[in-house]
Amino acid sequence: MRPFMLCICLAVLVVPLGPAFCQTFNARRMAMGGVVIGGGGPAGQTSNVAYRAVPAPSGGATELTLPLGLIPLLANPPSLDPDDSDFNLFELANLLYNPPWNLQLIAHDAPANDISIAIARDRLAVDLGEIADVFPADRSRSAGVQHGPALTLGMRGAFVSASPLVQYDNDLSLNEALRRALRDGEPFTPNTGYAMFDRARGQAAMSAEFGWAGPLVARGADARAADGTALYVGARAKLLRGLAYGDADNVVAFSTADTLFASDPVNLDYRALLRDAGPAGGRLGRGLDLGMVWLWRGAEFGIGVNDIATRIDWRVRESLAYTDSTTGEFTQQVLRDGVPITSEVPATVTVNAAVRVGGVLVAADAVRGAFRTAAHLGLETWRGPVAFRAGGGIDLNRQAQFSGGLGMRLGHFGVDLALATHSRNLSRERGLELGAGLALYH
Amino acid sequence: MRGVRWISVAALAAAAGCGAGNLVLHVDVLSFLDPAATQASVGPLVAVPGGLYTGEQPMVDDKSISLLEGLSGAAEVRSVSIRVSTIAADSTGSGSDTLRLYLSDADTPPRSTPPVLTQAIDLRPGVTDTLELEFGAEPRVAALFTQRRMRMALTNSLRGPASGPDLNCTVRLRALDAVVIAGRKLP
Repeated sequence: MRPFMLCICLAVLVVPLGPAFCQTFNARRMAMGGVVIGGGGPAGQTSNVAYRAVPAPSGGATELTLPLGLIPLLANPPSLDPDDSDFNLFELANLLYNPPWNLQLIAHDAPANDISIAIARDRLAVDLGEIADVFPADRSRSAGVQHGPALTLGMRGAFVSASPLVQYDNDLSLNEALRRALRDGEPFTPNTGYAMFDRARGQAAMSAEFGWAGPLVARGADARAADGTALYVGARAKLLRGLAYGDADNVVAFSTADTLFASDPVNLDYRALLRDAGPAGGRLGRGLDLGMVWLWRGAEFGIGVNDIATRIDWRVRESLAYTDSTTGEFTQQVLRDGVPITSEVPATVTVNAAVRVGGVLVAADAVRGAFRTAAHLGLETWRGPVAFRAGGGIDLNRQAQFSGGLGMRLGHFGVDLALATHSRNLSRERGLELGAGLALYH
Repeated sequence: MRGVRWISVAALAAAAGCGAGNLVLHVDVLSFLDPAATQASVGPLVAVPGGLYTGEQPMVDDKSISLLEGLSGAAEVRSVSIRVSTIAADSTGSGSDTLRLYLSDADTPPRSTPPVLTQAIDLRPGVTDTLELEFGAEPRVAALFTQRRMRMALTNSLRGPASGPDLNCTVRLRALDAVVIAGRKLP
């Protein structure tokens, strides 16, 4: 298999899925269903800038997760050579889709069924077996915004920071005819148009941020105490410098004739409008994050909205890619250079709440991203030096997922273990993973 | 059919990418033929000592068959089995017939290659026989099914009765299928 074909296959396999339920790189959160645990201090500011001003709860910890999943990967690395008999495209795609940080206790094997193609003069049917599950039942959309580690300097409530930002989104759909043929195994039929549409976009920028977070209202010596209350707000303005941009509006289509296997070939029509820019094409951008946290009688409520009206200007190269109808070869033709465009970074809204009921911490959140909303619920209770945790949520594949775990504290040090189900695999089936972490209690 | 080529390549990549999975290609060869060309009505062949021999007569002289593109570069054929079913209906007289199936690549006249199948049929007065034959194809033939096009020819050769009534019969091809099992091509 040629490298180009390998890339195409991996892209086709991975792109439609998107992160179903982001892997949690924190064993405590993972055990609590992946819920946002606001806490306080700079570490909590990613999803809600107001958390920067919220005092960390007593007994809070700095946590370090252990990459257990790397152990089996390093012991038995996958083959990257398509000519190797051990090469497995699905394992690689699953690896990209579900980075091997946590240890996968129940992982689904790559489909190993035969694929059957039936050909007659007027009939073509493809039975992909389990592999058909790779194709979504409806359109597949995925998106993500990743903020890299920030270098931050702060004084009182004000701060400046710098961090990288990466955003991507993808919207893939098959027309009804192609979806039925590939996913449902229905025969291809004469005089029918088959098409796949894909809109993909990715952009990277460096962000310089200026902000302030502080208490608007504070009553009581300890805002987290049962009689305390405080309202914290934060704002973070962003000045962005574009580094790389690319988008593609792809259509792959073909139409069958009166006879499926007639003597005249049917052309696969690929057309894409591509726009790309490197650092030289990057211009300035701007954006805003706002957050609010309310502590009230031991309960905590937060709402953070990131990337409000975040835009980046670019000068892009615009080109048309297509298959030549005569030769069938792939061709890319530059249409214009230096075309001014303004890209958008979609807003992310995080709403979270935490309340202590008796000795149990109950935390919940809902995160609305570019396309979908995920929700989580987590519980934690300490019995002496041992913490018992449980949680669950609805992931981006609209599946319910569950988790549980233990934490053990010895003085300032602690160990956390978590088990969680997920559907981060090509066939969206339920898997089970183990996460572990070390905690340094303050 | 380039659109179909991508389907086949994607299907093969999926199958081969999984390691154990095979690509199983079912080809209904008969469907590519004109129904009129799949049967021959013969007769009357008069009885002569030793029987009158028609020689090899084409039922399908040279037919091009479009298959999937892209398989030959990615797939290694592990096996091909071909199933042939014929119905021989003899109304009068006795004799024999020999069906020969030829398959070749797009650049080679099919009848310049050895027959893939040679099937002898006994013709008995008033008897209708259905003959089924399934066999594994040699590597040359197996490779043809991964090509975008192949060519085929079908002939029959009748020998009439040595004595008795004239031979009148119909020979009809009822099924001609190929099942190709292919896996990922490794160097």
